[in-house]
Amino acid sequence: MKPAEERAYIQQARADPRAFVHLYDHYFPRIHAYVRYRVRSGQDAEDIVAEVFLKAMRRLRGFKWRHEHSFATWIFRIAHNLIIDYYRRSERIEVTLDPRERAPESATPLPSRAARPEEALIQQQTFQQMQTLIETLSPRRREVITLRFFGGLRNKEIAGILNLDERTVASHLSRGLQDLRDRYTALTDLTAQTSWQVLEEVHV
Amino acid sequence: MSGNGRKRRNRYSGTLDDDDIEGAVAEKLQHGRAEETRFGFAATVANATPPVDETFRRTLRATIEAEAAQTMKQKEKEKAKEKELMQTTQDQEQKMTMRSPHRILRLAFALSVTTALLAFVFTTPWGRTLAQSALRFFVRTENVTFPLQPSQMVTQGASAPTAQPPAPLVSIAEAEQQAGFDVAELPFVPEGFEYLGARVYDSTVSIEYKAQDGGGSLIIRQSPDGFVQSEWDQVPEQAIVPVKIGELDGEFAQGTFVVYPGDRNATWNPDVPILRMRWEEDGIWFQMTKTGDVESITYLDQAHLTELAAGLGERAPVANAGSGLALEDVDALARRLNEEPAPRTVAVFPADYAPELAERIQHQVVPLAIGDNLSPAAIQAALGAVLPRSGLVDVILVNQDRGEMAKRVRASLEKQLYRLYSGPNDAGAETFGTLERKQYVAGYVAGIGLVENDPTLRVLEEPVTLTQGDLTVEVDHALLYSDRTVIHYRVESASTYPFAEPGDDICLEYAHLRLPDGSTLQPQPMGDGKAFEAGYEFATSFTDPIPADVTQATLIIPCLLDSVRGTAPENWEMALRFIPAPPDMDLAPVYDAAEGQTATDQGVTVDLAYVAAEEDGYVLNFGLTWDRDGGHEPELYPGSLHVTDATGQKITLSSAGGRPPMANQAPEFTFRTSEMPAPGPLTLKLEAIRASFPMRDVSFTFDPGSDPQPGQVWALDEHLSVAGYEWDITSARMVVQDGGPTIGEVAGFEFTMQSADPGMMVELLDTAHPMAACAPGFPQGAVFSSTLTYQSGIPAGPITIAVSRVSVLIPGDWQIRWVPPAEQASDEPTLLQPIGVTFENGIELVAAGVIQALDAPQPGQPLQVALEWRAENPVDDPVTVFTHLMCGGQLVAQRDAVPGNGEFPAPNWQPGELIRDQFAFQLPAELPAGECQLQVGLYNATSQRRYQPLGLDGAGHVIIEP
Repeated sequence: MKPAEERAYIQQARADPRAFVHLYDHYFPRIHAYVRYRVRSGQDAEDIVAEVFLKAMRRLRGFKWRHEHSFATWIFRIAHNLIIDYYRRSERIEVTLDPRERAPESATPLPSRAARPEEALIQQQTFQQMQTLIETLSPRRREVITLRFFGGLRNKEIAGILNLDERTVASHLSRGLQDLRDRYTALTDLTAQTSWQVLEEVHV
Repeated sequence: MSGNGRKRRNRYSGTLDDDDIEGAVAEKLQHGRAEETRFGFAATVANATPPVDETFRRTLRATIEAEAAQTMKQKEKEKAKEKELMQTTQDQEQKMTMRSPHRILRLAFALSVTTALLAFVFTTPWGRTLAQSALRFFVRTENVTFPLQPSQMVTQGASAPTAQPPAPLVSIAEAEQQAGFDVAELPFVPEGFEYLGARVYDSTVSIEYKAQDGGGSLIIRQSPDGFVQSEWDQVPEQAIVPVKIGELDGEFAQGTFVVYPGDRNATWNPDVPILRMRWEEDGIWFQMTKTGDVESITYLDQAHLTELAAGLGERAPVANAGSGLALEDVDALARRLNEEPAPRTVAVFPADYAPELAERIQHQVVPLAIGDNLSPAAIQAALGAVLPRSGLVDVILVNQDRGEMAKRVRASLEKQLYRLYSGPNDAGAETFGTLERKQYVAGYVAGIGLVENDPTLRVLEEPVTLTQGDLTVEVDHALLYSDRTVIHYRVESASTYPFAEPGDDICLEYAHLRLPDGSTLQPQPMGDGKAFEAGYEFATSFTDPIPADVTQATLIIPCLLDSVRGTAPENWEMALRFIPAPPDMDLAPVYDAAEGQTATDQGVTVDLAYVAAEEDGYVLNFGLTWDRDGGHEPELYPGSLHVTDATGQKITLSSAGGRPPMANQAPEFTFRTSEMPAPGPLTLKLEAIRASFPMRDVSFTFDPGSDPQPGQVWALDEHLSVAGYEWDITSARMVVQDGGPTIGEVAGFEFTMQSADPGMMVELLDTAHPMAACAPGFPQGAVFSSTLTYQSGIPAGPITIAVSRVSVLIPGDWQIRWVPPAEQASDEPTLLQPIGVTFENGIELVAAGVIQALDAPQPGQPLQVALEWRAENPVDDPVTVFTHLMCGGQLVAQRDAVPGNGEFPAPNWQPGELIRDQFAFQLPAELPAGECQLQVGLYNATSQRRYQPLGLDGAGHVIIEP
């Protein structure tokens, strides 16, 4: 979606909320991915994703368009705040120290659109492995990595959401990714003969 | 390290840099996957997207759509409320046609305050005094102004004046029965008008006509109890003209008291086109009021009104006599018609010579069975019953009053998008007209609507733009017809448009046109516009044409509508130049819906009238009618609606104007798709319709006691019933609200009600006391409320509360399929091939078919597929259908979906029911060489396990071959 289109849809949705579905269609994958990485329970993540969009639609009149990234920053801030509320409300512990102790969540559904079940399985495994790795990062780096890679936000926008300096965001991003890569390499060495191999074959 | 020359490297080693992250994220967002050989580990992370549960995604989308629709309904209800007020005004005095978007409506609203107040005093009992002087029909005043009472200063915004809604239209016979006296009628419908019907207000009967072209009305009131009188109704002495109506004395006056924006006085304006004549005959007091000055009714001046008044009560002539044509007349007519080479339908009225004519001409002859009832509805029904939906039609009317009959026929035909041309009188006394279907409308322009195919039409030479400060005005369309002018312009701010709030000094002046000779064209007082965040667009109409020899004019915008005076540049002058409409004028084509493109459910019929095809979406126009008994005529509004395209995608619709429900006219609504649907048939779906019943004869009494307190609650037990809908009033609570800056704090009551009927809303009025506002609340389940507030404090009880409007939601299923003309030839799949393969879960693929031949699929084009499914026993599994198009052994397109794009899940199938699943693939621009085939199968959406088709050796799918 081009910035001009996005702005037009925002204007349209203020007058006619039914136009909000265009924004939903565009942002759903990013918001879903970001929330899903931050919240372990698939059901809870879906609840938060739903709340993000409903809240955004209801509050759209209060949003002020300033530049082409302002809507993305705004909606991700809603998501960020809801996740904070979620952990605060449920007093859940966001960090699991040893990812290998965590079993993949069995309730996570497989994508029903997948043409081939094996692709769906690979996608599920890839996500679970990456989610487990990301959860080993510090909360701040985890936040930056997920907003950058799955929310698709730029450092400046992430800085705005997290109230950080842009250079601090860049530093967290760089170091967080480095940590992640190191752990990823270690983990793939450990699981070389597991189903992860399937993933390797597909990716090469 | 960026660009195409990226080095290839080991994904798990090397240095990470910002470019990798940037590139990986961008590529992932754009293409769904980031290339790891280019972006390394950053791509690995970006690609680890969590899987999405499509059911959740769709469900959430549906939830958002439902909430948005509900919000929109609420907005539309608010708009409808405003429209209703406007409508009341129109019905009472103006009969002007308008469309009213939210913000612009506020302007229209302010301008209409005067007439709303007039309507109020005309129709409410407390405004009536009955003392009449034998020869002084108008109350004289020496003053040309009078100060407004605080309660009469109405601001736009929360507090609206609450005129009593118009009584329902009834026949003259019913009016006579209700009013209890013989009502005098005109012997014919005056030229330029269309008969609406009669309304009864206590002992007063009001016979109403509207100008055929809109913008005017003729109302004849008669009552044995005299005239309603109030300060608004008085007339300066010098404006009263004594007249003779036959042998009777009467009085005539032109003008009315008006309130100019911001003024605290009402001022007599003798130029307002409101002409009134009053007289008395045999104890009945008469008032004939003509409003409006559109060209078609300008002839009706004082002299003509006097003439009409003198004819009131005369017997109507018999219009439906035989033709009286001799055989030689029929021969002459046949010769004339046979000169027309193009095949046509010849419709004749009366029809006594139809068999002889049919023997003599090459064209089809159809009789018009109009009968004795020459009402517009009867004529329209007769024409609709016999006229084709396309092609040429000649209408032969013999021995009819040329002016009246032709006008009525024309008015009826124009509603059906025909154009009636005057023709020669070739045979005796006939009136001859030629109808040309499809050429009446030239096309569609967003913001204006249908553009007529007027051969003299002129348009803007080029759009004109003017910028002052942050604000830009662009005049983008001008339509100069031979009889009127329409200008469309758009105002946009680069920052924030200075929209006014209640209490601000608001701009209410419309743009006007100045011609080179210095004369001006004044606009109609209502326009059609739409506000958006940064400005507004507006189409303003001028009832006068720009003379054919004038090729330029200046559009003058004194101030920008709805802005705060003094905050935006004023006095915009824009020079416009006009040229004849070029043959290739850029108009969206308009397609009439084919005959029978209607859907009926719950007695309500949705009739698709036309579809305009814009570059990026379709505009659909449809009407709503309800065939019901019971005497209460509701106004109908569409509820939840959307369009589904050929791929099953649900596309939202937003309002693009239309005619709101009006007396004796089926309401029409125009909606635009939010995007261009996929090629192929569209289905317009309505899931609910709101029926709103104006009421006047249901009330209840409530006594709040002598000292009601804010927040105090009274338990009530009132059971009411209207038009078959029932509800209970369970409690009342005293409320205090902000009535706006002029009125201040107002007190009133919130009544809580409940009903088993879905979505019921009830508007309550206290007609005995001046009210500040009445506001029905939205239902929360079975419970709903309605609040009314008073301008001058809570009156002493007991209070009689009248039900002024009841609206209910009619859930139903209305679906109309429309095929774009370019695709109509192939809108249906080719004959379905019988398949007859049953899967292991008991579901049978009964038949399948495609539009394009599979042996020659067209790259880039849609491939429409139809599958028919059936299960003899209930299916509990969440079944998804997959369809793969394989060409040359490669998968080139696929679709995984619950049949009917999710609307027909297998667990909902009835045993033995045939489920048709129709959709379209968009084929890629390039197709691999080789033979194509469709592979169709089923899998369990939860376990992802495929169901095996029985008897196909474990293939996992059924192959549909060329």
